[in-house]
This record gives sequence, structure tokens and C-alpha cells, in this order.
Amino acid sequence: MGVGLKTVIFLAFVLALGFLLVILSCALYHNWLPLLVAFTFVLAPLPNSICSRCARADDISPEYNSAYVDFGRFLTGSLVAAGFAFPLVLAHSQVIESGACWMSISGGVLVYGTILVYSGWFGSGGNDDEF
Amino acid sequence: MSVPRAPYDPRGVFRINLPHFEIGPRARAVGTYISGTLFTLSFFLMIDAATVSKYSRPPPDAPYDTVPVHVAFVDWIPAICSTLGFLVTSLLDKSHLHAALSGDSWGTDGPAAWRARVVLFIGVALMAGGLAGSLTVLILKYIVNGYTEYIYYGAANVGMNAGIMLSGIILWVSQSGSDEYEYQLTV
Repeated sequence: MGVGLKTVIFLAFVLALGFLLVILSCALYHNWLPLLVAFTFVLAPLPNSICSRCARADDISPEYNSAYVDFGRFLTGSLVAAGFAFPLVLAHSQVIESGACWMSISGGVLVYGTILVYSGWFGSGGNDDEF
Repeated sequence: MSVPRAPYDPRGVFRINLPHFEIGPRARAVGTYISGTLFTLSFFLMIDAATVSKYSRPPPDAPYDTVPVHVAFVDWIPAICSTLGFLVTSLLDKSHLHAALSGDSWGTDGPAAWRARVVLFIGVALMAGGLAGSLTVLILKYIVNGYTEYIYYGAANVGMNAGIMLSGIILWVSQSGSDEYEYQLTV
């Protein structure tokens, strides 16, 4: 109980820090394009959870179909890669400063890592392959 | 007996058998993640070239010149071909392919094997055509015309199509392994 509470508080702190970094990277340079990075990283765990539900709903039928799970993994990988690549592209064409680029990337990684760790520790127990 | 016998084993979908990779469910998951990452990264390489071209300015010693070359629709045609080829090859059901490969009675040289062959051929041809088209764009638009300082646009195009092809290969290899359910059954 105590460990869980401390962990939750720590994770909430890290999540807030991540969002702070992303919002600072936008507000300091008066350019709100890097905010899209936060949306990308927040959306990144969604495909896996949705697709694992879809595959699980299929469990009654004898034809097990792993296509949903694989598609979810593919989408997750592409969303994470988009979160990294998008600020780099913007910084390369000098739409945003390189400082804003690195701040938004690190903020997004913090947000995504928080979601990963949270779902790994407190998410539906027993299923070890939750990303 | 007038019809000559086929010189290859007619039970297989392919004349040269596909190598069958024995990888576990873990490698399958990791391979799928890597494939998705690579697909998006290669797309962002092309988007990067287009964005740089959109925001490019004339050189500082001649600020009123126009930028001589931009990324136009022509540069995107190989990307469209590669993406279509990637979709076609990854939508092909590998279990059907293996059923046809293993010589089941309904999939030997029947319509299923024939269809699988044609679909796979179209997909791989589209991907290879995309790669060749990106090389064509690089040479004809950037090297022959002498835009050596804008060669990044063409190089990014080639890198993007090669990345999509590599992503398709990784996805194919990781999908041809056994998935978790089959693995549990066999174990």
C-alpha cells in the first residue's frame, strides 16, 4: 500500500514534468507546433490496448487471429517513431529551435515512459505483454 | 503425354522455396515493432526533405533569387508505389501461403497458390519499382541537372524507399515465425 502510493505519486510527478517540458518547449519559443509530440506519445499506448481487446474477444472462436495484435504493435512502433521524428523534422527545417526540439522529445519520452510503467505495474495483472 | 512435365516441383507456390524462419513469439513482437518504427522513420525522412524544401530560402549573397528546385509531386510517386507494395505484401496471409507451401490438396497448384503468387509478385514489383523510381528521380532531377546542393532531396527519397523495403522484409520475416498461440499449442 505504502509502496504503491509512493509509486503513484512519483509517476504523477514524472508525468507532470513531462507535460511541463513539452509545454515549455512551445511557450518559450512562441511556437505551439511541438505540442503535437505530446499527443503522439499519449496516443502511442492506445493501439495495443484496443487491439489486444479485439484479439481477446475472438477467443471463443477456434480461429485465433493474431492480425489485430500485430497491427497494434506496428501502429505503436510507428507512433513512437513519429513522436521522435516529428520535432527533429521541424528543427531540421528551422521551423522550431533545436532547444525546443530536444525539450519536447524528452518531455514526450517522460510521458510515454510514465504510461508504460503505470500500465506495467498496475495495469491488468497477469498479462505481461502490455505496452 | 504431350504436355511436358513442369521442370519444378508444382506443389510449391514458388520455384525456389522460401526459407522458413524459426523465431519465437518474442522475436515476432520485436520484429513487428521494429518494422513499424522503420516504416514511419522512412516516411519522416521524405517528409523532412519536403519540409526543408518548403522552408528553403535563397542563398544569402543573392537574396532575391528564387530557389531553383523544390520537392514536387514527382518526388512522391516512388513513395506511393513503395507504400502500395508494402501494403500488398503485408496483407498477404502468411498462413494461407504456408498451407499452399506445405502441399495441401486444395492449395497445391490451384487458384489459391496462383493468386498468392500473383499478389506477391505485384507487391514486390511495386516496392522494387519504388526503389528504382527514387533512384531515377535522384539521377534525372538532381544529378543530371546539377543541383548538387539540393541532392539531399533525392538522397532522402532513395533512403525512404529503401527503408520501406527493409521494413517490409523485417515484417515478412517476423510474421513468418510462429505466433504466440501456435507456440503455446506446440509447447
